[in-house]
Amino acid sequence: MRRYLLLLLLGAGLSVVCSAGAAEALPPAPSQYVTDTTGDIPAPLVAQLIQRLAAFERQTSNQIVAVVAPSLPSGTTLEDYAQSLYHAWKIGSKKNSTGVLILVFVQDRKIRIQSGYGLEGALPDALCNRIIRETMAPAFLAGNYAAGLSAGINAVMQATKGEYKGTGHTNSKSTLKDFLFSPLGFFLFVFVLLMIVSRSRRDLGPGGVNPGAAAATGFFIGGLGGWGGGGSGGGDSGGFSGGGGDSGGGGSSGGW
Amino acid sequence: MNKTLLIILGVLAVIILAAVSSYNGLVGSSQSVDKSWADVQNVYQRRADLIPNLVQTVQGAANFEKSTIVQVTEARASVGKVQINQNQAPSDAAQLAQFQQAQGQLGSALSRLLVVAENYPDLKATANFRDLQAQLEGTENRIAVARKNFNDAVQAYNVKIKTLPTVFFAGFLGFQPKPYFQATAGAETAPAVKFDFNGAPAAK
Repeated sequence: MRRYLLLLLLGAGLSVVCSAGAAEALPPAPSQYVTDTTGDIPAPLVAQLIQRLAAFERQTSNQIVAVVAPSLPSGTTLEDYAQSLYHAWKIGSKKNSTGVLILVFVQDRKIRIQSGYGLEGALPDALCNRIIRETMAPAFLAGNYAAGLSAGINAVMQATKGEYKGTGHTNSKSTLKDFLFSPLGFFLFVFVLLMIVSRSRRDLGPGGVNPGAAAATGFFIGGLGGWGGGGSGGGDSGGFSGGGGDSGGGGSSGGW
Repeated sequence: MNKTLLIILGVLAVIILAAVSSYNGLVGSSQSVDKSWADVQNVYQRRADLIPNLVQTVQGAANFEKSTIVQVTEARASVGKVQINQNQAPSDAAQLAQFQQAQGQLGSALSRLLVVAENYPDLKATANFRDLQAQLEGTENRIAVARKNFNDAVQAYNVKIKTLPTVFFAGFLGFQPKPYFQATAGAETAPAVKFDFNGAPAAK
Protein backbone atom coordinates (compact mmCIF):
# COMPACT_ATOMS: atom_id res chain seq x y z
CA MET A 1 0.00 0.00 0.00
CA ARG A 2 2.74 2.37 0.99
CA ARG A 3 4.73 1.54 -2.10
CA TYR A 4 1.68 2.20 -4.25
CA LEU A 5 1.16 5.57 -2.64
CA LEU A 6 4.79 6.43 -3.20
CA LEU A 7 4.46 5.52 -6.86
CA LEU A 8 1.39 7.71 -7.16
CA LEU A 9 3.23 10.63 -5.62
CA LEU A 10 6.18 10.06 -7.92
CA GLY A 11 3.87 9.99 -10.91
CA ALA A 12 2.21 13.21 -9.86
CA GLY A 13 5.58 14.88 -9.38
CA LEU A 14 6.79 13.68 -12.76
CA SER A 15 3.71 14.90 -14.55
CA VAL A 16 4.22 18.34 -13.05
CA VAL A 17 7.84 18.38 -14.20
CA CYS A 18 6.89 17.19 -17.67
CA SER A 19 4.18 19.77 -18.19
CA ALA A 20 6.55 22.50 -17.03
CA GLY A 21 9.21 21.32 -19.47
CA ALA A 22 6.83 20.96 -22.38
CA ALA A 23 5.72 24.59 -22.28
CA GLU A 24 7.07 26.49 -25.27
CA ALA A 25 9.44 29.31 -24.62
CA LEU A 26 7.28 32.18 -25.79
CA PRO A 27 7.90 35.76 -24.77
CA PRO A 28 5.64 36.84 -21.91
CA ALA A 29 2.68 39.05 -22.70
CA PRO A 30 3.76 42.64 -23.22
CA SER A 31 2.68 45.22 -20.68
CA GLN A 32 1.87 47.74 -23.38
CA TYR A 33 -0.16 47.75 -26.57
CA VAL A 34 2.84 48.66 -28.68
CA THR A 35 6.29 47.18 -28.21
CA ASP A 36 9.30 47.96 -30.35
CA THR A 37 12.56 46.15 -29.71
CA THR A 38 14.28 47.35 -32.86
CA GLY A 39 14.45 51.07 -32.16
CA ASP A 40 12.99 51.79 -35.59
CA ILE A 41 9.86 53.38 -34.18
CA PRO A 42 10.45 56.71 -32.39
CA ALA A 43 9.57 56.55 -28.69
CA PRO A 44 7.14 59.51 -28.78
CA LEU A 45 5.12 57.77 -31.50
CA VAL A 46 5.06 54.53 -29.50
CA ALA A 47 3.79 56.44 -26.48
CA GLN A 48 1.16 58.18 -28.57
CA LEU A 49 -0.03 54.91 -30.12
CA ILE A 50 -0.22 53.28 -26.70
CA GLN A 51 -2.40 56.10 -25.45
CA ARG A 52 -4.70 55.87 -28.45
CA LEU A 53 -5.01 52.10 -28.19
CA ALA A 54 -5.81 52.29 -24.47
CA ALA A 55 -8.54 54.81 -25.25
CA PHE A 56 -9.70 52.53 -28.05
CA GLU A 57 -10.07 49.60 -25.68
CA ARG A 58 -12.08 51.69 -23.21
CA GLN A 59 -14.35 52.75 -26.01
CA THR A 60 -14.75 49.52 -27.98
CA SER A 61 -13.33 46.70 -25.81
CA ASN A 62 -11.06 45.81 -28.74
CA GLN A 63 -7.48 45.10 -27.78
CA ILE A 64 -5.00 45.81 -30.55
CA VAL A 65 -1.46 44.70 -29.79
CA ALA A 66 1.45 45.54 -32.05
CA VAL A 67 4.97 44.14 -31.75
CA VAL A 68 7.91 45.26 -33.86
CA ALA A 69 10.83 42.86 -33.46
CA PRO A 70 14.06 42.18 -35.37
CA SER A 71 13.38 38.65 -36.60
CA LEU A 72 11.18 35.60 -36.30
CA PRO A 73 12.58 32.89 -33.99
CA SER A 74 14.13 30.06 -35.98
CA GLY A 75 12.20 26.84 -36.43
CA THR A 76 8.79 28.47 -36.58
CA THR A 77 6.61 29.98 -39.26
CA LEU A 78 5.05 33.42 -39.13
CA GLU A 79 1.54 31.95 -38.93
CA ASP A 80 2.36 29.41 -36.21
CA TYR A 81 4.19 31.97 -34.16
CA ALA A 82 1.41 34.55 -34.41
CA GLN A 83 -1.15 31.94 -33.39
CA SER A 84 0.94 30.80 -30.40
CA LEU A 85 1.52 34.36 -29.25
CA TYR A 86 -2.13 35.29 -29.63
CA HIS A 87 -3.21 32.23 -27.68
CA ALA A 88 -0.64 32.79 -24.94
CA TRP A 89 -1.33 36.49 -24.58
CA LYS A 90 -5.11 36.02 -24.60
CA ILE A 91 -5.78 39.19 -26.55
CA GLY A 92 -9.33 40.53 -26.53
CA SER A 93 -12.24 40.02 -24.19
CA LYS A 94 -12.97 36.54 -22.92
CA LYS A 95 -16.55 36.71 -24.10
CA ASN A 96 -16.00 37.91 -27.66
CA SER A 97 -12.26 37.57 -28.32
CA THR A 98 -12.14 41.12 -29.60
CA GLY A 99 -8.46 41.36 -30.34
CA VAL A 100 -5.96 41.90 -33.12
CA LEU A 101 -2.26 41.09 -33.07
CA ILE A 102 0.03 42.95 -35.46
CA LEU A 103 3.53 41.53 -35.85
CA VAL A 104 6.35 43.14 -37.81
CA PHE A 105 9.71 41.44 -38.24
CA VAL A 106 12.02 44.04 -39.67
CA GLN A 107 14.96 41.88 -40.76
CA ASP A 108 12.71 39.23 -42.26
CA ARG A 109 10.59 41.96 -43.90
CA LYS A 110 7.46 40.18 -42.77
CA ILE A 111 4.13 41.43 -41.44
CA ARG A 112 1.23 39.51 -39.94
CA ILE A 113 -2.15 40.77 -38.84
CA GLN A 114 -3.91 38.10 -36.77
CA SER A 115 -7.55 38.57 -35.86
CA GLY A 116 -9.33 37.15 -32.83
CA TYR A 117 -12.50 35.12 -33.23
CA GLY A 118 -14.74 38.10 -32.50
CA LEU A 119 -13.21 40.40 -35.09
CA GLU A 120 -13.08 37.97 -38.00
CA GLY A 121 -16.25 39.60 -39.31
CA ALA A 122 -15.13 43.20 -39.04
CA LEU A 123 -11.61 42.39 -40.15
CA PRO A 124 -11.80 39.60 -42.71
CA ASP A 125 -8.65 38.03 -44.11
CA ALA A 126 -8.93 39.88 -47.40
CA LEU A 127 -9.06 43.21 -45.57
CA CYS A 128 -6.02 42.28 -43.43
CA ASN A 129 -4.26 41.43 -46.65
CA ARG A 130 -5.16 44.78 -48.18
CA ILE A 131 -4.04 46.69 -45.10
CA ILE A 132 -0.68 44.94 -45.26
CA ARG A 133 -0.25 45.27 -49.01
CA GLU A 134 -1.66 48.72 -49.63
CA THR A 135 -1.22 50.58 -46.36
CA MET A 136 1.76 49.16 -44.53
CA ALA A 137 4.10 47.58 -47.08
CA PRO A 138 4.65 50.70 -49.25
CA ALA A 139 5.77 52.73 -46.23
CA PHE A 140 7.96 49.91 -44.96
CA LEU A 141 9.48 49.54 -48.41
CA ALA A 142 10.39 53.21 -48.33
CA GLY A 143 12.04 52.67 -44.94
CA ASN A 144 9.42 54.72 -43.13
CA TYR A 145 8.58 52.17 -40.46
CA ALA A 146 6.91 54.66 -38.14
CA ALA A 147 4.42 55.76 -40.78
CA GLY A 148 3.77 52.18 -41.88
CA LEU A 149 3.01 50.93 -38.39
CA SER A 150 0.92 53.94 -37.51
CA ALA A 151 -1.12 53.71 -40.70
CA GLY A 152 -1.62 49.99 -40.23
CA ILE A 153 -2.90 50.43 -36.68
CA ASN A 154 -5.17 53.24 -37.87
CA ALA A 155 -6.64 51.05 -40.56
CA VAL A 156 -7.28 48.22 -38.11
CA MET A 157 -8.93 50.62 -35.66
CA GLN A 158 -11.05 52.06 -38.45
CA ALA A 159 -12.26 48.60 -39.47
CA THR A 160 -13.05 47.32 -36.00
CA LYS A 161 -14.38 50.33 -34.16
CA GLY A 162 -18.09 49.75 -34.70
CA GLU A 163 -18.15 46.08 -33.77
CA TYR A 164 -18.53 46.09 -29.99
CA LYS A 165 -19.10 48.55 -27.21
CA GLY A 166 -16.44 49.14 -24.59
CA THR A 167 -16.85 49.14 -20.84
CA GLY A 168 -15.21 52.51 -20.28
CA HIS A 169 -12.06 51.00 -18.84
CA THR A 170 -9.27 48.73 -19.99
CA ASN A 171 -8.81 45.21 -18.77
CA SER A 172 -5.84 46.31 -16.68
CA LYS A 173 -8.14 48.21 -14.30
CA SER A 174 -8.39 46.45 -10.98
CA THR A 175 -11.85 46.06 -9.60
CA LEU A 176 -13.18 44.88 -6.26
CA LYS A 177 -14.35 41.66 -7.85
CA ASP A 178 -10.93 40.93 -9.28
CA PHE A 179 -9.47 41.55 -5.86
CA LEU A 180 -11.84 39.20 -4.06
CA PHE A 181 -11.14 36.45 -6.59
CA SER A 182 -7.38 36.92 -6.54
CA PRO A 183 -5.50 34.53 -4.22
CA LEU A 184 -4.41 37.34 -1.92
CA GLY A 185 -7.90 38.81 -1.73
CA PHE A 186 -9.47 35.45 -1.07
CA PHE A 187 -6.94 34.64 1.64
CA LEU A 188 -7.51 37.99 3.33
CA PHE A 189 -11.25 37.54 3.10
CA VAL A 190 -11.20 34.10 4.73
CA PHE A 191 -8.71 35.27 7.32
CA VAL A 192 -10.87 38.19 8.33
CA LEU A 193 -13.98 36.03 8.40
CA LEU A 194 -12.27 33.56 10.71
CA MET A 195 -11.08 36.38 12.93
CA ILE A 196 -14.56 37.81 13.23
CA VAL A 197 -16.08 34.45 14.03
CA SER A 198 -13.50 33.46 16.62
CA ARG A 199 -13.55 36.86 18.32
CA SER A 200 -17.29 37.07 18.57
CA ARG A 201 -17.42 33.58 20.04
CA ARG A 202 -14.85 34.34 22.69
CA ASP A 203 -16.14 37.62 24.09
CA LEU A 204 -19.84 37.36 23.68
CA GLY A 205 -20.45 40.25 26.00
CA PRO A 206 -24.04 41.40 26.49
CA GLY A 207 -24.68 44.28 24.06
CA GLY A 208 -22.13 46.77 22.80
CA VAL A 209 -19.95 46.61 19.73
CA ASN A 210 -17.62 43.68 19.45
CA PRO A 211 -14.19 45.32 19.40
CA GLY A 212 -12.47 42.40 17.73
CA ALA A 213 -14.89 42.24 14.85
CA ALA A 214 -14.78 45.97 14.37
CA ALA A 215 -11.01 45.92 14.27
CA ALA A 216 -10.99 43.05 11.80
CA THR A 217 -13.48 44.74 9.52
CA GLY A 218 -11.45 47.91 9.66
CA PHE A 219 -8.35 45.94 8.79
CA PHE A 220 -10.07 44.35 5.84
CA ILE A 221 -11.37 47.61 4.46
CA GLY A 222 -8.01 49.21 5.03
CA GLY A 223 -6.37 46.40 3.09
CA LEU A 224 -8.79 46.83 0.23
CA GLY A 225 -8.18 50.54 0.11
CA GLY A 226 -4.43 50.13 0.09
CA TRP A 227 -4.54 47.53 -2.64
CA GLY A 228 -6.94 49.47 -4.78
CA GLY A 229 -4.81 52.57 -4.53
CA GLY A 230 -1.73 50.73 -5.64
CA GLY A 231 -3.46 48.98 -8.52
CA SER A 232 -5.36 51.73 -10.19
CA GLY A 233 -4.08 55.13 -9.17
CA GLY A 234 -7.02 57.03 -10.59
CA GLY A 235 -8.82 55.38 -13.52
CA ASP A 236 -6.86 52.50 -14.99
CA SER A 237 -3.17 51.99 -15.44
CA GLY A 238 -3.55 52.08 -19.22
CA GLY A 239 -1.25 49.14 -19.89
CA PHE A 240 -2.17 46.06 -21.85
CA SER A 241 -3.48 43.06 -19.99
CA GLY A 242 -4.95 40.17 -21.96
CA GLY A 243 -8.68 39.74 -21.49
CA GLY A 244 -8.89 35.99 -22.16
CA GLY A 245 -9.58 36.03 -25.90
CA ASP A 246 -8.36 33.53 -28.48
CA SER A 247 -7.88 33.29 -32.21
CA GLY A 248 -8.69 30.56 -34.69
CA GLY A 249 -5.94 31.49 -37.10
CA GLY A 250 -7.69 34.30 -38.97
CA GLY A 251 -5.85 37.19 -40.55
CA SER A 252 -3.25 37.55 -43.23
CA SER A 253 0.48 37.58 -43.77
CA GLY A 254 2.59 39.66 -46.06
CA GLY A 255 5.85 41.46 -46.42
CA TRP A 256 7.69 44.20 -48.21
CA MET B 1 -24.00 -4.21 13.19
CA ASN B 2 -21.95 -6.51 11.06
CA LYS B 3 -18.49 -5.07 10.59
CA THR B 4 -17.74 -6.85 7.29
CA LEU B 5 -20.97 -5.58 5.81
CA LEU B 6 -19.99 -2.03 6.70
CA ILE B 7 -16.59 -2.44 5.06
CA ILE B 8 -18.11 -3.89 1.91
CA LEU B 9 -20.63 -1.04 1.77
CA GLY B 10 -17.83 1.48 2.24
CA VAL B 11 -15.72 -0.01 -0.54
CA LEU B 12 -18.74 -0.11 -2.83
CA ALA B 13 -19.48 3.53 -2.11
CA VAL B 14 -15.91 4.50 -2.97
CA ILE B 15 -16.03 2.54 -6.22
CA ILE B 16 -19.33 4.09 -7.23
CA LEU B 17 -18.06 7.57 -6.43
CA ALA B 18 -14.92 6.98 -8.47
CA ALA B 19 -16.99 5.61 -11.35
CA VAL B 20 -19.31 8.61 -11.30
CA SER B 21 -16.50 11.11 -11.26
CA SER B 22 -14.64 9.21 -14.01
CA TYR B 23 -17.79 9.13 -16.09
CA ASN B 24 -18.37 12.86 -15.68
CA GLY B 25 -14.78 13.64 -16.54
CA LEU B 26 -14.92 11.45 -19.64
CA VAL B 27 -18.16 13.01 -20.81
CA GLY B 28 -16.60 16.45 -20.45
CA SER B 29 -13.48 15.51 -22.42
CA SER B 30 -15.50 13.73 -25.04
CA GLN B 31 -17.68 16.80 -25.49
CA SER B 32 -14.69 19.03 -25.98
CA VAL B 33 -13.38 16.60 -28.63
CA ASP B 34 -16.75 16.83 -30.38
CA LYS B 35 -16.70 20.60 -30.15
CA SER B 36 -13.27 20.86 -31.70
CA TRP B 37 -14.40 18.39 -34.35
CA ALA B 38 -17.24 20.75 -35.23
CA ASP B 39 -14.68 23.54 -35.58
CA VAL B 40 -12.67 21.35 -37.94
CA GLN B 41 -15.80 20.76 -40.03
CA ASN B 42 -16.52 24.47 -40.09
CA VAL B 43 -13.17 25.49 -41.45
CA TYR B 44 -13.19 22.76 -44.09
CA GLN B 45 -16.66 23.89 -45.09
CA ARG B 46 -15.40 27.44 -45.27
CA ARG B 47 -12.76 26.32 -47.72
CA ALA B 48 -15.26 24.38 -49.82
CA ASP B 49 -17.51 27.46 -49.95
CA LEU B 50 -14.73 29.55 -51.43
CA ILE B 51 -14.19 27.22 -54.36
CA PRO B 52 -17.10 28.20 -56.69
CA ASN B 53 -16.07 31.84 -56.51
CA LEU B 54 -12.43 30.95 -57.05
CA VAL B 55 -13.21 28.74 -60.04
CA GLN B 56 -15.36 31.46 -61.55
CA THR B 57 -12.64 34.05 -61.10
CA VAL B 58 -9.85 32.00 -62.67
CA GLN B 59 -12.10 30.92 -65.52
CA GLY B 60 -12.47 34.59 -66.36
CA ALA B 61 -8.77 34.77 -67.06
CA ALA B 62 -7.87 34.19 -70.66
CA ASN B 63 -6.61 30.67 -71.43
CA PHE B 64 -6.46 29.56 -67.82
CA GLU B 65 -5.13 26.03 -67.63
CA LYS B 66 -8.27 23.90 -67.58
CA SER B 67 -6.85 20.76 -66.03
CA THR B 68 -6.13 22.47 -62.71
CA ILE B 69 -9.68 23.77 -62.51
CA VAL B 70 -11.01 20.30 -63.27
CA GLN B 71 -8.82 18.81 -60.55
CA VAL B 72 -10.12 21.27 -57.99
CA THR B 73 -13.77 20.68 -58.83
CA GLU B 74 -13.28 16.91 -58.85
CA ALA B 75 -11.48 16.99 -55.52
CA ARG B 76 -14.25 19.07 -54.06
CA ALA B 77 -16.84 16.61 -55.29
CA SER B 78 -14.99 13.67 -53.76
CA VAL B 79 -14.80 15.48 -50.42
CA GLY B 80 -18.57 15.67 -50.48
CA LYS B 81 -18.78 11.90 -50.95
CA VAL B 82 -17.00 11.08 -47.71
CA GLN B 83 -19.75 10.19 -45.28
CA ILE B 84 -18.83 11.55 -41.90
CA ASN B 85 -20.76 12.64 -38.85
CA GLN B 86 -20.65 16.43 -38.56
CA ASN B 87 -21.43 16.62 -34.88
CA GLN B 88 -19.52 13.75 -33.40
CA ALA B 89 -15.81 13.11 -33.69
CA PRO B 90 -15.08 9.92 -35.61
CA SER B 91 -14.27 6.90 -33.50
CA ASP B 92 -12.93 4.91 -36.42
CA ALA B 93 -9.35 5.69 -37.46
CA ALA B 94 -9.94 4.48 -41.02
CA GLN B 95 -12.90 6.82 -41.41
CA LEU B 96 -10.88 9.80 -40.24
CA ALA B 97 -8.02 8.80 -42.55
CA GLN B 98 -10.42 8.66 -45.49
CA PHE B 99 -11.79 12.10 -44.64
CA GLN B 100 -8.30 13.46 -44.25
CA GLN B 101 -7.18 11.99 -47.56
CA ALA B 102 -10.08 13.55 -49.46
CA GLN B 103 -9.47 16.94 -47.85
CA GLY B 104 -5.75 16.60 -48.50
CA GLN B 105 -6.40 16.04 -52.20
CA LEU B 106 -8.55 19.14 -52.33
CA GLY B 107 -5.85 21.09 -50.49
CA SER B 108 -3.14 20.10 -52.91
CA ALA B 109 -5.38 20.72 -55.95
CA LEU B 110 -6.03 24.22 -54.59
CA SER B 111 -2.42 25.01 -53.94
CA ARG B 112 -1.53 23.76 -57.42
CA LEU B 113 -4.13 26.12 -58.82
CA LEU B 114 -2.61 29.02 -56.92
CA VAL B 115 0.84 28.11 -58.20
CA VAL B 116 -0.43 27.96 -61.77
CA ALA B 117 -2.13 31.32 -61.27
CA GLU B 118 1.34 32.82 -60.82
CA ASN B 119 1.72 32.49 -64.57
CA TYR B 120 -1.21 34.79 -65.23
CA PRO B 121 -0.13 38.32 -64.25
CA ASP B 122 -3.38 39.88 -65.41
CA LEU B 123 -5.39 37.56 -63.20
CA LYS B 124 -3.10 38.09 -60.22
CA ALA B 125 -3.48 41.83 -60.53
CA THR B 126 -7.24 41.77 -60.07
CA ALA B 127 -8.52 42.74 -56.63
CA ASN B 128 -10.98 39.90 -56.68
CA PHE B 129 -8.31 37.27 -57.13
CA ARG B 130 -6.09 38.81 -54.46
CA ASP B 131 -8.94 38.83 -51.98
CA LEU B 132 -9.75 35.22 -52.78
CA GLN B 133 -6.13 34.24 -52.38
CA ALA B 134 -5.98 35.95 -48.98
CA GLN B 135 -9.19 34.19 -47.94
CA LEU B 136 -7.83 30.82 -49.06
CA GLU B 137 -4.57 31.35 -47.19
CA GLY B 138 -6.48 32.41 -44.09
CA THR B 139 -8.69 29.36 -44.36
CA GLU B 140 -5.73 27.01 -44.73
CA ASN B 141 -4.27 28.57 -41.62
CA ARG B 142 -7.56 28.14 -39.77
CA ILE B 143 -7.61 24.51 -40.83
CA ALA B 144 -4.15 24.00 -39.38
CA VAL B 145 -5.22 25.64 -36.11
CA ALA B 146 -8.49 23.70 -35.88
CA ARG B 147 -6.71 20.42 -36.56
CA LYS B 148 -4.15 21.14 -33.88
CA ASN B 149 -6.88 22.02 -31.39
CA PHE B 150 -8.70 18.83 -32.31
CA ASN B 151 -5.60 16.71 -31.78
CA ASP B 152 -4.98 18.42 -28.45
CA ALA B 153 -8.53 17.67 -27.32
CA VAL B 154 -8.25 14.04 -28.46
CA GLN B 155 -4.95 13.72 -26.66
CA ALA B 156 -6.43 15.01 -23.40
CA TYR B 157 -9.28 12.53 -23.79
CA ASN B 158 -7.06 9.57 -24.66
CA VAL B 159 -4.71 10.30 -21.79
CA LYS B 160 -7.67 10.39 -19.44
CA ILE B 161 -8.87 7.01 -20.67
CA LYS B 162 -5.49 5.43 -20.06
CA THR B 163 -4.65 6.91 -16.67
CA LEU B 164 -5.77 6.15 -13.14
CA PRO B 165 -8.42 5.93 -11.90
CA THR B 166 -10.42 6.41 -15.10
CA VAL B 167 -8.70 3.49 -16.83
CA PHE B 168 -10.67 1.08 -14.62
CA PHE B 169 -14.00 2.43 -15.79
CA ALA B 170 -13.49 3.77 -19.33
CA GLY B 171 -13.91 0.44 -21.13
CA PHE B 172 -16.74 -0.64 -18.91
CA LEU B 173 -18.60 2.64 -19.49
CA GLY B 174 -18.13 2.38 -23.25
CA PHE B 175 -15.47 5.05 -23.82
CA GLN B 176 -13.03 4.09 -26.56
CA PRO B 177 -9.84 5.93 -27.56
CA LYS B 178 -10.36 8.36 -30.45
CA PRO B 179 -8.13 8.68 -33.54
CA TYR B 180 -5.94 11.69 -34.33
CA PHE B 181 -5.28 13.58 -37.52
CA GLN B 182 -2.03 12.26 -38.92
CA ALA B 183 0.59 14.60 -40.29
CA THR B 184 0.06 14.33 -44.02
CA ALA B 185 2.96 12.95 -46.00
CA GLY B 186 4.58 15.79 -47.88
CA ALA B 187 2.56 18.46 -46.10
CA GLU B 188 5.78 20.11 -44.97
CA THR B 189 7.14 20.47 -48.49
CA ALA B 190 5.76 23.02 -50.91
CA PRO B 191 3.67 21.53 -53.73
CA ALA B 192 5.69 20.78 -56.82
CA VAL B 193 4.79 22.78 -59.88
CA LYS B 194 3.57 20.35 -62.47
CA PHE B 195 3.70 21.61 -66.00
CA ASP B 196 0.98 20.01 -68.00
CA PHE B 197 2.38 20.10 -71.52
CA ASN B 198 -0.05 17.65 -73.10
CA GLY B 199 -3.22 18.91 -71.56
CA ALA B 200 -5.07 22.16 -71.27
CA PRO B 201 -3.11 24.91 -73.03
CA ALA B 202 -3.23 23.16 -76.40
CA ALA B 203 -6.88 22.29 -75.96
CA LYS B 204 -7.48 25.90 -74.93
